[in-house]
Amino acid sequence: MESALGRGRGIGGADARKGLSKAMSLYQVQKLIQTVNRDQDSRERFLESRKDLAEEFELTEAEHAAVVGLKIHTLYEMGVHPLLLRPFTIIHGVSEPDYLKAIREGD
Amino acid sequence: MPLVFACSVSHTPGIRAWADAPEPGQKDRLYAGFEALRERMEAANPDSILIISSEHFANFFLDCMPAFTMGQADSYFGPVEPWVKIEQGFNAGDPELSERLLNACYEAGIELNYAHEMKLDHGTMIPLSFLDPARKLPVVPLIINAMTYPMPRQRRCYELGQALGNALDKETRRVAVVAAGGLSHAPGERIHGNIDSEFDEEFIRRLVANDVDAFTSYTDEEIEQLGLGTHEIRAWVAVAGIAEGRQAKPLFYEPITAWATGCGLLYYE
Repeated sequence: MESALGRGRGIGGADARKGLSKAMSLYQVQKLIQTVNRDQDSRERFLESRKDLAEEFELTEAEHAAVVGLKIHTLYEMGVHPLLLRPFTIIHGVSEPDYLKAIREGD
Repeated sequence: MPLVFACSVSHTPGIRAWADAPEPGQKDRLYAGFEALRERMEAANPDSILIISSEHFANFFLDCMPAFTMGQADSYFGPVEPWVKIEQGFNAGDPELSERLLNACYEAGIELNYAHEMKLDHGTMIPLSFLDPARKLPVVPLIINAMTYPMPRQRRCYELGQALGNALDKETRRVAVVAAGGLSHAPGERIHGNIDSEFDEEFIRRLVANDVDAFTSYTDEEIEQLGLGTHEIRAWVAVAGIAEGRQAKPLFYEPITAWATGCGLLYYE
C-alpha cells in the first residue's frame, strides 16, 4: 500500500511541511479548485472557459496546464487534497472508476 | 449530570446517499444501531445536542483553517450537499449554550474559534438524520480540522473534551454529545476503498479500556497510511474526554466496503 506521505500531499503532505514555496504555489491551484467547487458563478465561467478563470490565479506554467487540461493524475501528484480534487472532477462528469484509474495509472 | 448522553458514530455520506449499496443486512444492522442510539438519547431527554465533527471544505478553506470552531448561530442550514439525500433545511442553534461552553474553554486555556455563521454538511447531518430526524433539538456544532496539516494532536482533542466535560458538569441544560466521523477511510485517494478493520477495532478496544495514553498516541503519519479520512477519529477522542469517567460501550462495527469506510457506533454509560 502506497503512503500518501510519499507523494507530496501538498497541504496535507510531508513535502508541504518541508517546503513552504511548494505549499504556497499549490495553494493557488487549490484555491482555484475550491472556487470552482463552491461558487456557482465561477463554476459556470470555468466550464465555459477554463483558461479565462485560470488567468485570475497565480499559477505556475505546470499548474496552469494541469488545471486547464484537467490532468487529474498531475493534480493529484502535485498534492491537491482529494476532498477538493474528487468534487472538482465530479463537476466535470468524471465517474468514480475513471477518477480512480486516473490517479492510480495516469491521465 | 447535565451531560445526559454521549455517543460516537461514523458519518460517511453513503449511509444515506447510497443506502442500499452494501451487502444485504449490513445497512440494516447499522441502521438498527442508530435507532438504538436514538432511543437512548430520547430517553435521556436532552435539551440540546453538542455535535463534534470534522471539516470537509464546507465552511473553511486554507485562507484560514481553524483547529477547533464552535458554532454560535441561531440556526444552521444543512446539509450543504443535496446528494446525501437528506432534506435540506434548518436546525435551530443554541447560542447561549455555545457562549457558556466557549467561555469555559477559554477559562481552561483552550481558545476555540467561534462562528456566528456555519453550514452543516454530511458530517453532522448524517448522524442528526438518525438521532433527531424531526430536527426538534437545538444543536451546537463543533468542527475540528481533521483534514489539512497541521491539525490538532489527538491529546489536544482529548483535553478539549475534558474542558467541555467540566463545563457540562456546571451546565443547566441537559446536553447530548455526539462525535461524528471515521473510522478508517480514504475518500478520493489512490488507496480509496482501504478499510483497516484491525486499526478500527483496536481503536475501539482502547476506548473501551479507557486507555487514554493509547488512544491519543496515534501520530498523523500512522493515521495517514490508512487514509486521510481516518484523521476524523479526533471527534471520538474529544468525546472520550467529555465522557471521562463513563464506560464506553461498543454497539456496532463493520467494514462497509460499499461505502469504503469502517463504520462504528459506540455510546457511554
